[in-house]
Amino acid sequence: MELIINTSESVPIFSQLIEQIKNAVAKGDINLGDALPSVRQLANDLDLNHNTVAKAYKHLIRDSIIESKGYRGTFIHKDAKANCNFDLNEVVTTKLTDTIKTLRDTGATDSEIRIAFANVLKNQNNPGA
Amino acid sequence: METKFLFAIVFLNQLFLMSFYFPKKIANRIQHVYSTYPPSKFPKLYPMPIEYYQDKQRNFRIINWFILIAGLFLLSYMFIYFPQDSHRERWDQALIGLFFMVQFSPVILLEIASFNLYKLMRKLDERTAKKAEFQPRRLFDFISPLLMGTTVLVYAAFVGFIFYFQRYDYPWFGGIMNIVIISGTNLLFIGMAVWHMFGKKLDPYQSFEDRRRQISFVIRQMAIVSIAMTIYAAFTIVAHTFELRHFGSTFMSIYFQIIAVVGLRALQIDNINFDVYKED
Repeated sequence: MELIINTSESVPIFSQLIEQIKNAVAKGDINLGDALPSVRQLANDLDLNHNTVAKAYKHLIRDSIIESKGYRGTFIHKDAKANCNFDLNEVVTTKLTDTIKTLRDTGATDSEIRIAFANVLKNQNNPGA
Repeated sequence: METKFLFAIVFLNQLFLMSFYFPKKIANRIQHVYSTYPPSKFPKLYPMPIEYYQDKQRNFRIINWFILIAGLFLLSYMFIYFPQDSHRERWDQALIGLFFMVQFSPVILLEIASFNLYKLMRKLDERTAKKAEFQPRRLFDFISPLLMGTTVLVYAAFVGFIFYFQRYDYPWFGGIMNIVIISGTNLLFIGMAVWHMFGKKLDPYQSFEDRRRQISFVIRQMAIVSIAMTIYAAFTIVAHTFELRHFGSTFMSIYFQIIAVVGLRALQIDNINFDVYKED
C-alpha cells in the first residue's frame, strides 16, 4: 500500500495522511494489528517535517485507529475498523451548529457568540487565570 | 625469496583488480546506461548535459591508468627493497594501506559526483505529489538472520579473543584498542545502515522495490566487510605471535582485495526500474 500526499492541495497535509490511513483501514488495505512505519521513516519518505507526521499519528491514536506500543512501534488498533466511521469533526460541527442555532434563537448576535466562545475556551484552558 | 615472489603476485593482482578490472567494469556500466537509457527517452536521469557525464567517465579512466602505472612503480620498488627487518615491514604495510586508499579514491570521487547529481535531481523535481510505501522497514527485511548472526558472533569471538590474549604480555599488542577500533567501525556501519533504512532517499524517482533492493545490498555488503575486517584484525595478531610478520604485506593486500571485491560490486543494471526516469 502507498500513501500519496499532494502539497498543492488546500487540505492540510496531516489531514491528507489521516484520511488515507482511515480509508486504507476501512477498505481492508491494512489489516488490524499491522505495524506502521515510524514517524521518521514516513516523514523522510514523503519529504515532510517530522512534526506533521507525528501530528497525524497523534490524531489517529486519539481516535483509536492506531495504537502506540512503546519501543515496539505503532500498530493498527484492534477496533480501528469500527472507529474509522466515527468522525469527531462531524460530531463537533453538528453540536456547534445546534448550539449556535439555539443561541441565535435567544437573540444573541454572532459577535457576542464569538466573544463568549473564545472566553469559555480560554477559561477552560487556563482554569486558574 | 618465495615470500618476495608471493607478495609480488598478490600485489600485482591487487593492481589488476582495483586499477584495471573494476574501473573498466564501472566505466562500461556507465556507458551501458547512456546507450540503453539515453537522455532523449529518460530525461529525469540526466539533470546535467550528457557531456558532463562523459567528462567524468573519461577522467575516471585516466586517473585509474595513472594509478595503475604508479602501482607498477611501487611494486618494483617494494620488490627490489623487500623488507629484511620488522621496521621495513611496517613501512611497507603503511605504503600498501596508503596505496589502497589512492586506488579507492576515483570511486569515492565518482560517489561524490553521484551524490551531487542526486541533489540536483531533487532540486529540479517539481512534482507536488509525493509517494511513500506504508510499510515499516525492519533490519531482517534486508539481511538474513544467518548473516547478521554470523557478524555478531565473529565480533563477539574477537572481543573474547582480545581479552584472552591480554593474559600474555606481548609488548607489541594493542590490547583493548583493537576492540575500540573494530567497535568504532561497526558503529559507523550501524549508523550508515540506519541512514539507508530510514533517511531521505537520495534519488527522488527511485521505485520502492529498487530502494529495498539497494538497502539490502548495502547492509549485506557492510556485514561482510565487518566480518572480513574482524577476521583480518585477529589474523594479524596471530601472525605476529607466530613470527609470520614477513607475510604481513601479502596478507594485507589479500585483505584489501576482498574488501574491493565486496565493496565494488553493484546491483544488476537491468533489474533497476528505469521507467521512473521517463518524461511524465
